Amino acid sequence: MRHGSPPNRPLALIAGRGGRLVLTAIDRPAAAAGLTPGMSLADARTLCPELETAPADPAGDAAALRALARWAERYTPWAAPDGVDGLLLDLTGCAHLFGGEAALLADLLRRCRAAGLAARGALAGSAGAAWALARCGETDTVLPAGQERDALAPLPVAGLRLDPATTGALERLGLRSIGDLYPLPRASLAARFGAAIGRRLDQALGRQDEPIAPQRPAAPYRTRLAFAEPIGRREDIAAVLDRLLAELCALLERDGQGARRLTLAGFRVDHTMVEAAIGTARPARAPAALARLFAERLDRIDPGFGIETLVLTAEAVEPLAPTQVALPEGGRGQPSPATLADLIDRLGNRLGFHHVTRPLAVASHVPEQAFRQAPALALEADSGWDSLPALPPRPSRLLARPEALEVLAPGREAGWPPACFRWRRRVWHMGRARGPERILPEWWHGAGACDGNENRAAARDYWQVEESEGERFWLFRADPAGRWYLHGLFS
Amino acid sequence: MPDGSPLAALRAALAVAPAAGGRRPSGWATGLPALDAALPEGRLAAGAVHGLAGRAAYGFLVRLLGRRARRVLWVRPVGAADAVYPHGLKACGLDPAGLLLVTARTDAERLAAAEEGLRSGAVDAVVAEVGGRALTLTASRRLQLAAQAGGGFGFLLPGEEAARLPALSLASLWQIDPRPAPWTVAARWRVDLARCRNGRTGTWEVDWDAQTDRLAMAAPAGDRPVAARIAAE
Repeated sequence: MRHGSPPNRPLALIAGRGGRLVLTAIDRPAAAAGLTPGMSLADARTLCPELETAPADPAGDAAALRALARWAERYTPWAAPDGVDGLLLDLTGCAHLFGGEAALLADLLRRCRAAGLAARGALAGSAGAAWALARCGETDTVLPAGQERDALAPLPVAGLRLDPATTGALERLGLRSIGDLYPLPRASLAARFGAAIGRRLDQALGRQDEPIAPQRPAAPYRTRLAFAEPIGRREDIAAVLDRLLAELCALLERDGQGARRLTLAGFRVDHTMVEAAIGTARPARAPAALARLFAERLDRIDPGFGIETLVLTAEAVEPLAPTQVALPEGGRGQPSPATLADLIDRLGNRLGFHHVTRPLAVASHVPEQAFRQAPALALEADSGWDSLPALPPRPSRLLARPEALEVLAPGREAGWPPACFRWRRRVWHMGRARGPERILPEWWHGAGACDGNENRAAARDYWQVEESEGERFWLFRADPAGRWYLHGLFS
Repeated sequence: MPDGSPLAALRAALAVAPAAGGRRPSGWATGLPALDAALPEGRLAAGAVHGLAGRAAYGFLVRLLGRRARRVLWVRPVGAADAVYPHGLKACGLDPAGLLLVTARTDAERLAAAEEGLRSGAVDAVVAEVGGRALTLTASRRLQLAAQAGGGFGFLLPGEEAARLPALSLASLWQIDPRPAPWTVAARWRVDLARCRNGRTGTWEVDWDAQTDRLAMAAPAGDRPVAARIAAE
């Protein structure tokens, strides 16, 4: 697509390849000037000094193609990107909705071209034939079933979706058109060029099935609403969303399912689309709760010139047993798990679900490994805290990594914590101390696991220390050599 | 202040006012008569936000929550140098299974998360480690309203001395500092109730007995130069 520049200047996209700049894509005027993709930029400039260039953006192109494929789902759910620059649509059973195959193709190409895409398209009984016609034959062709053999015969072998090396080899042998391959014995073709050529030929001629993998599995839980007049106000979108949610939740309820991920897609009048997605910590199908989760996302839906269709899809569902209609909640004594799940959902959607966690107990002697933060998906599941053996006093805060102390005065006896130390740029004087509690790492951890000395070196002697003002620390000495670390705070 | 005075009657009338809209929230008694007497109705008000400052604020709060709160939402900064240590909380009587930890990058996000938690009423208490410039009178007022709606307790840990905090809408503001104590005492604090709506301020020196989960007045010990400054009760 071209923006703002005079329409007749040749344009090419360039990318660095092997230390030089080559053309990756060209437009029609550039092709007319004799340029081809793959040519180096220096050569191209010699041929066509007025060439205009822009850097290629493969990731952006791929994303745009995916978006286009999703837009093409307006014609059929079986739409998939094909290569880096094509779309493959299986229109079986869809064409009558648009007034026939020819009308559908014309509408599709008209809309693409109106959006500024230089689109070519063809419709045929097999994916291979349509591919060949769209790329090498006449565009806008609708090929009646059974005529693939004749229609493809004059097209170049490049239309067979073979790799460039095979295509080049065929052309060197004088096999320039697809029709040239018909009389040749399959066995010798396969022996010379590999099995792909026979398969591609069969696919193009409709003798071999070729399923299209759609961009994503069609979700059975989907509701849509199209509007006679495009809508743009947030309140309108929210009102439509409520209707869609009510419908979708009824579908889910019928099947005993709950949604884990929902996507609201808005198709705008200028053929672009916007999306908002939410996730839930547990399967849910309460329209009000889901609407609340969407509420913050609706701000991000930019209606542009107006939205003409809204589609709500439950991308992921999980079984959810039918619930008894609950009595109104009584006192505050026992908060219901449903409201807690609501809270987790709202916080998770706003901050990211990995930021909403709960601690799980881990069976380890090493203090910092004795717990881990797990996503708070199911708060009522057993987290392992009840079955723990009693431990000596543990601090309520643990430093993420033990911080080394600068010892200013040694301890009262050998092995005792320092009488005076510096931590976080402050000098602390020790008042009381009690310990040590020796904590050994698990023998199966660490490099020197089999060696007794190594093991002892990794042992830690933990002390509770009260500094002169009353703050209580958890110190340890990492090894007999005596480096002291602060690992936790009791106060 | 003898009971039955006009001032006491006025206080009683004011104390009812915040809860007039919804159900009457209950509160937590600390169990120490001298301390409870300073609090409105002898309890730490529920459906309200309390601020805890000082070096021992964290430990005091954990022990206050222990055995009282079943579900706690704890809002923390991302990548803090220290972690809430569940084994330590368990030792204080707070079941880690009921702990929901939320980390958020900015103070504004933390305030919003805390507000969401307070408003939902799904947790007994919300602890928010929020400080700095985002903690304004307006922000604290929003939290206070959310706590009233949800009926739970909100606790702010601003990480700052109480005296240096700006004017905030808090039901109470505490300055908790550690005091040296023998190992038989789980924790000894100098508890300074700096502000208390519908209550009185005061300073106490209290011990926490981990076994019985009770507060007691700290016994004057020989190794301390000055006996505790205890508010006249």
